[in-house]
Amino acid sequence: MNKLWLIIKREYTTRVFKKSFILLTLLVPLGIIAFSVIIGFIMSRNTVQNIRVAISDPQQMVNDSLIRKNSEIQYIISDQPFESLKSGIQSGQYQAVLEVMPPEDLKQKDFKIRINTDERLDINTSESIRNTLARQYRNYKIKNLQLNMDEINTLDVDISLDRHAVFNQDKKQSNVSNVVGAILGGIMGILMYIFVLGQGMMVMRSVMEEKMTRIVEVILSSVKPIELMMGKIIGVGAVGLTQLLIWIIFMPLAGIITTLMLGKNVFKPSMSGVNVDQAIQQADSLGLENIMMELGQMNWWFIIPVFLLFFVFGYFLFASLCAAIGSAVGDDQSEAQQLLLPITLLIVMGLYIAMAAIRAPYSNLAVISSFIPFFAPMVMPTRLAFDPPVWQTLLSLAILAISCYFFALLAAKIYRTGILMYGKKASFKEIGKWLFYK
Amino acid sequence: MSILTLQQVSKTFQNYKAVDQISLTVPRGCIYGLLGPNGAGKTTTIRMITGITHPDSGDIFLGGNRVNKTIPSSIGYMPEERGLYKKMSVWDHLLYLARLKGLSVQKAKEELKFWIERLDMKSWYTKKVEELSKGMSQKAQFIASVIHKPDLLILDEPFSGLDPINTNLIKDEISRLRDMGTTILFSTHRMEQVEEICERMVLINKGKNVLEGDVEEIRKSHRQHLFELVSENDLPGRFPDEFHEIQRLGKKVRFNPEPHIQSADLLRYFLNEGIEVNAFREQFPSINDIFIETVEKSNQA
Repeated sequence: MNKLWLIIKREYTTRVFKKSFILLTLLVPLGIIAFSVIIGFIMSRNTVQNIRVAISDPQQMVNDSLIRKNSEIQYIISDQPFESLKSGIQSGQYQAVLEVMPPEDLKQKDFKIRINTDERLDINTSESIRNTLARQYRNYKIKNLQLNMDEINTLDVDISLDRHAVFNQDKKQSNVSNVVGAILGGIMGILMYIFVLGQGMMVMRSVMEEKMTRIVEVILSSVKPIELMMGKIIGVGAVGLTQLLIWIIFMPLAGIITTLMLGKNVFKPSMSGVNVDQAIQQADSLGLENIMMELGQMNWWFIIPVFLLFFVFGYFLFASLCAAIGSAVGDDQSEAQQLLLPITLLIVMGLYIAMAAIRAPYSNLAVISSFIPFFAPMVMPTRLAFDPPVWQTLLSLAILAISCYFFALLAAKIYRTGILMYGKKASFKEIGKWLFYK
Repeated sequence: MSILTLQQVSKTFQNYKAVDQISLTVPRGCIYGLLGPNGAGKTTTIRMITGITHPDSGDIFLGGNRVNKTIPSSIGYMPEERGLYKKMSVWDHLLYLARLKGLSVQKAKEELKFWIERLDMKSWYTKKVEELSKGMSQKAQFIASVIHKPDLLILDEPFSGLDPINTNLIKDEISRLRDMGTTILFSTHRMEQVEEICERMVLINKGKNVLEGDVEEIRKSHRQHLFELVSENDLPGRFPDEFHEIQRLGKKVRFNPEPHIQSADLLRYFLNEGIEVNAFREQFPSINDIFIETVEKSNQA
């Protein structure tokens, strides 16, 4: 036990007190801040052309109050026909002239409005002009059809489902809890994915290095192979956790700084790519208080420990496989990649299933994958926030824990033989034989 | 009393027998040579003794205790293929290895200071391993194998890559440790080193023990009745036929006489003939010759 602790300590300190680790850990949040500020800045730039547009409106259908004044495009309303407004383009008073006519048929839907200009109009500009005109025509129609504006506004409806349990009075589920669950689940799933993949690779590289520098034989004359392997896995895992903690502390800080710098929250778009962003938009409309309330209602005393258990077992499962691969290949990077491919595929598949599970946490796919050890570490945590049946959580955890133990033993066997085996090509067949060495 | 005993130890990798029923006994306090051609099973044997791998069958006793599946802490081991973590400083590294051997921090530091002084490493023990020359890292590795004062020290090709000065330094340390009671198991295929250092030896080939015993005894038992005479005088053109002169180089003559002729008979003849004898000795075969002869014989068997 004492030796295991020494190994863990070495694996941890040689990494954490390295300049590159400190730099990377601090630079990533800074990089994200810089990146978001730049992206935010680019996105916030108004890309509409700065032009003046005259509206030739001889029949005075345009309602001046419906034209937005803060727009980049300035409108000048005139009752003159186009012919007499031409000179204004020449003198540079405005760059374009729109010719509007009230529709003869109030039921007409499609209009073709002529715009006279020598400028090239980009997509944003023409869309802005079209929107402006559309508002005018809609307003004209409402007025001339003698519709009541208030009545029209009441036509829009929003529906939310209010679920009431019939027999099973376990927990109230609202729209908010779905959204909160999605966000939480998404974060848990992605965290798992990044961690397992990143730290797993680190374990593999470290084992390869140990084998190639031939230090391993010296170490193995002092400790058992399983101790060395476990010490490495735990040490590297602790490094990852340290980094994660630093980031968890830094990220909100980064968010606050960017928000202050740009005056708006630019962090939301950076989460896109996952269907979490949809949920966030939805969450926005639900109000912060509701979300906070929902978060408060979550059974954190259950979720957090269970999540951590999944995290630990999932990491051990994949990291021991990575260690086994590292011990089998030695210095051949391409061979390592080849052997790693099935594992990477499993992890990526797990992530995709997890993302599907966010949308449908009670689906067959989600439930069955929770009982497959390679998917469970990603899928089950995403479902946790949706309050799945307890037996499913516990069964999933039990299956994962048992397979974690089993695969760690398997990996240790491969590791023990592989780490001292030089100059043999590590095919799956070859590795299979190692399992039966004494 | 023996410190290490192997009884019919075997290890098979797939269908290849790396070690085949090896038995040997290493007496306490001697320097014991483990010889054999490449691939004979030396490293596998050592790995089983150190507990890195386990024998398929047979028993290993260390100081009277069966150690088949444990890692004995009373062994120091310097493997042939050796390395260190590149990014660690020599000091940190040796401290780590000493701690893995079960030394307390304080004890480890004490020992480390002693060895750094002794092996003249003061100017570079703070350096990182990757900055060291081959000889330097070899010294560091030597320290790693002896820092915990093992009863049995296993050295696999300890002098490869060392310059003559450092070779002598390590040789002296080995003798010193032996005098202090450490048993040294010394694996090599440099035969002149065996003659120079080892008291006992075992020769293994194809995983089998083909020759074991006291080095001098082995040499004696392999003598081929060869004699060498050095004389400042003019040597006679011919010696008696039964002397079987086989080589003449200047003032040096070698004989391989009939079996019934002993060294005394030769000497008597020289004196009677008035040949000045500057040097005369029976030639023992070198371990190198015995090695080659034995290995070839066992390969044919």
